[in-house]
Parts: sequence; C-alpha cells; structure tokens
Amino acid sequence: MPVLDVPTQGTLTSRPYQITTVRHQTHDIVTIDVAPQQHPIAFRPGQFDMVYVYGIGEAAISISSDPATPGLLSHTIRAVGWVTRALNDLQPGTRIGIRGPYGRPWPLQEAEGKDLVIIAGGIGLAPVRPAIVEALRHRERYGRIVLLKGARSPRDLVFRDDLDRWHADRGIDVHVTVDSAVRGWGGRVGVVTKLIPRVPFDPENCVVLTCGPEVMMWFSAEALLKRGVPPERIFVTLERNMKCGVGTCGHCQLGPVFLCRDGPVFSWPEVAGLLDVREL
Amino acid sequence: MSHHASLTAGDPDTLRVTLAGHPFCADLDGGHVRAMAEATSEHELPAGSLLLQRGHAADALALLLDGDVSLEVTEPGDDPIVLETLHGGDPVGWSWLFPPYRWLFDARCLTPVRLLQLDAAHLRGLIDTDPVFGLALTQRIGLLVVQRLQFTRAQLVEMTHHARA
Repeated sequence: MPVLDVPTQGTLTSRPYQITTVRHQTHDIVTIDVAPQQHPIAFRPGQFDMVYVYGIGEAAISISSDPATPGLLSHTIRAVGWVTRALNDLQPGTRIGIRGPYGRPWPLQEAEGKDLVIIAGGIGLAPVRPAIVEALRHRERYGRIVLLKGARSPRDLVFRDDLDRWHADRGIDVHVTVDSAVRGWGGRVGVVTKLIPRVPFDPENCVVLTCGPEVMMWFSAEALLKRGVPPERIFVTLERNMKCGVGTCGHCQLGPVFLCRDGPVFSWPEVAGLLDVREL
Repeated sequence: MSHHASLTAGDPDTLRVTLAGHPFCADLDGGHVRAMAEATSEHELPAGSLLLQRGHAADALALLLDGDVSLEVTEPGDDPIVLETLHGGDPVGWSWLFPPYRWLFDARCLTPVRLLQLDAAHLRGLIDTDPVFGLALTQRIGLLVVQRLQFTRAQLVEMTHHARA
C-alpha cells in the first residue's frame, strides 16, 4: 500500500484502523498498535492523532511508534478520562477511527551537528520515542544523544524493553531515575532534574527535547538555563484539552496560541511566559 | 560512620589534593582546605554496608568519591523506603553540624564506595575559632540543604500532580 504524505491540517475526517496489539506498559498505561484499513499516512516525531473510540469520543494522543513504519502506528495511552479508559480496555481486532497527524513536530533537523538531550517524565517518553528512534537511525548526524528518564516509581516506568535496549546501545546515554522506591530497585532515586547538572553534554551546542508534567518541564528548563543551555534550544511539548486538532474550536487555546495548530512542540521562549499566567 | 569502613593508606599531601578536588570544596580557600585535611581520612566500604545509621552519633561529614549510596528510612518489618540516591561527588549528611548530632536516616552503599571522612568535632572546632572558615563551610552546607529541599519539593509536586491526574 502506498504511504501518503499529505498535509492533514484542516482535515476533520477520521480513517478506520484496526488494533493489532495491546501492550500493557503499567497498571494504567497501554500501547495500542493499529494498522490502517486504507492508505498509511506518514507522520513526523512529536505529532499527534485524534483517536476516536466509536460511540464514545475522541482524544488527542501522541504517536509513539517509528516514523519509518507508518503502516503500523502506536499510541500510548494513560487511562484518565472516558475516552482513554475506553481505549485502555480495547482488544486486538477492534476498529477505531484516527485523524491526523497534527501539530508541529520535534525540531530534529535543528539538532543535527549538536548534542541531543531528551528529558522525559512518566508517560512523556511516548511523544519523544519516535524522535529517539529516528535519531538513532541517523546516529551520525548528532553528537552525544542523552536520555534522562524519570518516573514516579519503578512500576510506573514505560517502554522498559526500549530502555533496556537503549541502555545496552553505545549510541545513547540512558539515565533513569524514579521519585520513590523501596530497596531492590538498585537504580537512582530522585527527580529527573537532578541529573541535568551532572550528565555529560555540551550545553552551548545542544538541543533539548522535554516532555512530561508541566512542572517537570518548568524545573527542567530552570536547570538547563542554569547549566548554560540557550533558551531557544529548549523545546517542550504541551497538552491541553484538544477537540478539533486544527486550530478552530479553541479548546486548547493557551493565551495567543492554539496548542494543536501552533504546537504541541514549542521552544521555551515561546511558552515560558504563558506558563506563568495563572488565568490561562 | 560505618564499622565496615576500611581505612585507605595515603600520604597527607595526596589526601589534601583529593579533598581540594572534591566538588564540595570547589573554590574553597587553600588554607581552609589544609585545615580540613588535618582531620580527613579516606575509606572504602563494600556494597550493602551502612555508611550512616539512624540514631547513631553524627560524627563525620562524608564526601563521596566513587560509588552509589541510598538514603533510606526503615520501619521495623518492612522494606526500607529509599528517599534519594547519592553518587560520586556528593556530600552525605549535615546532622553533624546541628545538635543533637545524630543521624536522622540510614545511608546504605549500593555499590562499593570510596569516600573522604572529615571528623565532625574538628570541623565544628574550626567553625568556632575561624569565623571566615565558619561562614564558608556553613554557606556550602546551606546551599546543599537548599538544593536537597528544592529537589524534594519537585518530587512532592510531581507526585501530587500524578495523584491529581
């Protein structure tokens, strides 16, 4: 089947997909792999889809699979609302609707020739996973590639297989830490931002991709700026309640920007001021 | 400090250079480093041993050179809760500076650990007799406490955020 590389901004029609695999990442997070019933659509790391559970509703979900295989899309979902709970309960063979991909992707081209630092908290590894896979496929284009991964506890770690594989891979430095643990964990305990001052990378020649709870990204940005990373080289991905996905309905408006249309990936100077405004 | 610690032989000059090179002593006056080095010794501890034990006398400042240490709270009959892990370049403990000079938590070696041990009574004596040194050292400990407090607050915020979601 040919892969379509079509602009989907403005498109509100979902296409049918069939769930091929459901992988339980943690007690409340699953990754569902879906295959298109029509043409596969190409996507770029950092973009998201509107995923439709027929009869229940849509939710904006980042794409977590390899961009080189658009015929097999993955979405990693934490059960927090009606739609995401329904998605968590779906079984292989079920049909769902997907429209997208939407949004501004991670600036991987800007990171070429520089160190690439990726900071992910919790399920935040899902939106940056395609960027990691893509960067490792073109390893020669980057300096150091560093992944700082935080989770609430060892049982909340997602993509464990990937973390193990990447940990064994000399192409990427993986540092994992959890907020709390009991003895037996054996790894680091502490917030992910604690790693920023001590892991090796060139702060003056790097691009940082950050995804996780907004407070984590805020603390991370503070630590990165303190280390000397230029603010315009720090990128975050934001989420709000997205509905249309194409910048029309205003549900995801954050001050002057619509996250679905202008983001979800932003440079730090674009949004730092907005995150300080209580009323937004 | 742990009874499992084995003293590493080393001449005073090497020890002073090692102490001066520890991040905790960065930019510290050379005379102050020399004064601290007079009561400093280097030790090695095996994995699994306790570096600090809750309730025991806080009689030394430990500066980790290599290895990983977990700061733990233990309740009888239950697995210890790991509050934080510390690593090469980190200082361990500030209870030696404040009465009643008792450790509040356990610190366990997750790996073989090499560290510098600075005698607490000697440090407190230097603080009493040399106000310039006292200010420099207490500022460093103050910064350490602030950093750990900020990390702890960030941990709290993240855990609260997760509970809310």
